[in-house]
Amino acid sequence: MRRDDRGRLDLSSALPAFLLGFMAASFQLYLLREFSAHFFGNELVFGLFLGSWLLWGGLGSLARPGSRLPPGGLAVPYSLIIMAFFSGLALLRFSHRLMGTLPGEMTGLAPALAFAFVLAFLLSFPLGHFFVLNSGLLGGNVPRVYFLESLGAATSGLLVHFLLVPRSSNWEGGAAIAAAAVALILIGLKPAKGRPLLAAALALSAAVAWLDLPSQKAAWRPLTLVEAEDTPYGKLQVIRTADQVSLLSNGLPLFSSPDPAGAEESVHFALLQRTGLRRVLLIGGGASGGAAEVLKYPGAGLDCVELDPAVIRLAEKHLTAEEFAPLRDPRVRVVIRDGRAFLEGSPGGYDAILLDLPEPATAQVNRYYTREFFLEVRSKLAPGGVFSFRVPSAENYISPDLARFLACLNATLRDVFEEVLAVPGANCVFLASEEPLSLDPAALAGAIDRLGVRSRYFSPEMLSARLHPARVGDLTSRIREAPARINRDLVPVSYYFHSILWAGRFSGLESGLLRSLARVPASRALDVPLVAFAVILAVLALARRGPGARYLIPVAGMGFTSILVEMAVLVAFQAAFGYVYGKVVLLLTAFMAGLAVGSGLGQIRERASAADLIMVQAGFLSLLVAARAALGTSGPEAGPYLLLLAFGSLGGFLFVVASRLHLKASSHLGLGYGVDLLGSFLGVVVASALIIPLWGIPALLSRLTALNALLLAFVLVTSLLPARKARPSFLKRPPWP
Amino acid sequence: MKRRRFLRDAAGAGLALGSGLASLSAAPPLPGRDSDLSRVEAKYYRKLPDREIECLLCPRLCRLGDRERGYCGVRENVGGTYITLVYGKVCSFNVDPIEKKPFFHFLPGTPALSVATVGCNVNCKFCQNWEISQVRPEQVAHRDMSPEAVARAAAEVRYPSIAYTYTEPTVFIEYMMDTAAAARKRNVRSVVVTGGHINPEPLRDLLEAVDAVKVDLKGFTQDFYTKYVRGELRPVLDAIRAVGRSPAWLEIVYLVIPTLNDREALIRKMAGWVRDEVGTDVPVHFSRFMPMYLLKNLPPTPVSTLERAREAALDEGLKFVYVGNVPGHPAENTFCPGCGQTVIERAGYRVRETHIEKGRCDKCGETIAGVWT
Repeated sequence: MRRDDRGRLDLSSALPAFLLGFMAASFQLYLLREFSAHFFGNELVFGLFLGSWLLWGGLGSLARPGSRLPPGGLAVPYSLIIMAFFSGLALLRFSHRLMGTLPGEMTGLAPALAFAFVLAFLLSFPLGHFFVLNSGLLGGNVPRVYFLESLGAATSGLLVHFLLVPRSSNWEGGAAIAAAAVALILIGLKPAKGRPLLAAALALSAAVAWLDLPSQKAAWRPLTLVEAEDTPYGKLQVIRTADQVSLLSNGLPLFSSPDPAGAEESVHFALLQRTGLRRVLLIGGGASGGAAEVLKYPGAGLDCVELDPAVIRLAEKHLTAEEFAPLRDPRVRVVIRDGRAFLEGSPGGYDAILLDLPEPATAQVNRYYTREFFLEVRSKLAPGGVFSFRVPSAENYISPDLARFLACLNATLRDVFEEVLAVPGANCVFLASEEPLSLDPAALAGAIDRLGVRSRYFSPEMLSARLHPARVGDLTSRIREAPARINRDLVPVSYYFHSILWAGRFSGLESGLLRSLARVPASRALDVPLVAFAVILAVLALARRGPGARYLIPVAGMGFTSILVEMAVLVAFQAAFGYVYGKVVLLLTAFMAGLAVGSGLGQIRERASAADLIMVQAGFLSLLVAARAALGTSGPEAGPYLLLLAFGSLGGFLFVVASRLHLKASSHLGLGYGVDLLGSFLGVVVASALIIPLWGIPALLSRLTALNALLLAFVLVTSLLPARKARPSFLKRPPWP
Repeated sequence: MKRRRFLRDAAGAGLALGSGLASLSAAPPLPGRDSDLSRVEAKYYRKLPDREIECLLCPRLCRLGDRERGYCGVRENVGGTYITLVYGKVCSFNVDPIEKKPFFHFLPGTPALSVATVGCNVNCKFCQNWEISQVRPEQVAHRDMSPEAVARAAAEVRYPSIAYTYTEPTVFIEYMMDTAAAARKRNVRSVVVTGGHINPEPLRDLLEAVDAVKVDLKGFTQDFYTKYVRGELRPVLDAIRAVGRSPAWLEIVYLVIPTLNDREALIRKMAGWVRDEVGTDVPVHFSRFMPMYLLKNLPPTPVSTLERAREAALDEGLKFVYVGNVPGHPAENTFCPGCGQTVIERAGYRVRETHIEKGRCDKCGETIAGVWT
């Protein structure tokens, strides 16, 4: 860190850039959490938000390269950005009112894109431009700003993950970050101007923290929200309608109670298949009546696994004593743990394993519907044991999109189990086992009588109507005849097919586009752009272009590669270790910390040279090869953190080296940063929504390895071929000392 | 009606659909191409200058230029001639208990051959069949079935009725009326499940062709229809009145959506209107909203809300008020307005027992309104 004339730490010069990263990272994170809750965060929506953020950030740092600080320093713009952050939170909370829709009403990609663009323009564009202002403040020392900004981002990541998310709501956490930023500005910068604005930002922070619950209640009207809680796993909201309680997570219903038909449907099709049930595992759904239904079977003991303790806590608080009583029954063991992790550590021997989770609409949930998970389930079933889950379907028409989604799940089950059956209806119930199963209404009705199961919905009459041979046959043939792909941990294609179903509700072009992309083979979708990129690199290298191309193309490649690796690691990590949602911040913090370490190391070096670029590019290549080799192996949980730390370090180092080399010839302080963000934008848009679900992480890492090999070749060739003499330009004269 | 009869019907239904559904599913058709659509001239329109037309089927009165389609998406102006694109283009073909439509006072305990083509002239945010109602015919797999083929399929296995259902059947009114005529020749009756968003003239013709109509009254304020249905309430009320005054049997479903159309005062107002306009014998079903389509993330209707709505409607003088979409609820049963005895016991769309003889309660002799044979 820079020291002043007397050798003291020069806080006032370092603090603004540190604060920039501190605020940018935490504001982005809190807005993303709120955005996911309001737009039913699947990966498409997630990609839209992050993409918009990176795009506007990149454009912000490219805009007005010669900008100088406004009078009064950074206190005024930083106060304004805090207020913009609060405006963004409010905008999201009341987004339904602005769109003229009901709270909870589904909205398509177009409104999500519009909100993502507006929010990112409000915040990320100025934040990107503040990078330029900070660079000017530090005499054009872009690498130092990058280092400080990364340090600020890593610090806020740790603060948010360890301190704020476990203890506070999104609004409260955001307000705390904003208040901390104001305090740091006041103490560290002692600004002469802008104090009233800072005071206003501080007051607003207090108001936002206090208004969290009242504003949620207002946003949910005409429905009655009685309680809300932001947990590491999502935004939980309790809605009461008359004597009914509904619990939503990130805007999606977890359950309503009482709902005997739903609970019976999730349990009895599976349990009526066998007699003498001793051990049953229920993953999710215990609080919504599933446990009570299992206990109707004489002699059955139940392990009931729930990921989020807050779900059980809220259920206990808001359900009636009678509704919650089954979870206190001595035959029931409630386990608060990730269901998949629990299953992996369990000795098994279950007569039935019932999955009662939301459908695979996101990568987070998709890992309960993959071949790898089904294999784990099979290994934990007793001989003849039954596995079951249900997903939303359609009663009267199985559309080609729905058939493809169901066919994917069916094929994945068939790849693991000998016997698979599908129950038609508004929900499709899948049953799987190594032994024969039956959908004969008379046999199931006989089992109801024999076992003495008293239920409201499961009657011989209902079974005959729902399991009508024509309806069963129709569903079965539609599923079997649809094109089917296997859903895997590392190729989570099922959530892509679900995205098509989701998009089909809206009249835009998105569903057609998604359908078309699903038909494109990986070789065409990934390899053609790669070949085109190789040609472009070759032309640029042989044309001996100047520093812009030589040094900034690797930076863009780094931005593109880093974000794709981050996405791949998030998906692979949760498949391997589970519960990633609560650790997203920590994983991203590892990357940010890497950026800080790498850019710090880069600054220590006296001189930057093209050899540094070659070394870093070779490092990227080695890491990618190692990551590809490690896929699917059971390494330690620390592995992904170390990988992201290493990627961040190389990325930070590369940025510093490339910026130094580039700035020798250019005064555009934000160009390198902007190129980095634009590369990331491109990566996030294609990765989260398309590449990972459709073609999978192994294919992605292979192509990234090839891409970085090309970039290595590019930096090697350009280091050997001197650049042509550049034409004079107003940008070529650095104004900074 | 005993369980034996139900099982017999179910077996019959299985055999029947052996031919019908098997033909649909043996070689599942791909979503249609433009050339696959029908080119039958539509009824209920008038020609305007410059090859324009005005559709007179529903209250929207779509005015269309050449190659334009109406709001329903299934009727198109081709060079000044209005055509229906879905005549004989069946996208959904099932057998359902007639209670599922729901008809509780029309041939209870019998199966209904249920057919639909694509299309709807409103846009309910809670539609349960949006995959076929809110899309264009080109987007959906369909099979060609002539009116005669549908009537024959029902008659061959002695289904007493054909139901035009799932989507909005009035948008395929030409096909529905031709099928109903073919069915009537074979002693098969026709029942319509509609939103009632139709003009008086086509409705008058339709009521001559069919035997029963169930109208979905989706709310009782224009504001609700504007916000959540994108339609008009007044024409629906006019349609209910017209059906009630026709020989066709009428039942009404009111889908109760929590906080949107469930105020007791509103329910009472609606029930009073039914009583005054079409009589106390018309069955009214308060159906439970289950999260669907765009309202997929809203909570379902609490059962207690439906029970309160039922109590209010009974209190307003209606004789037959049901709770729907709550399998096993006691208010699925029909109670004699004279002695209070259960005259039809139901369980999840199925009839367990009936105590009606020649249209009267077998205990007290009170007339139970309906079509029983």
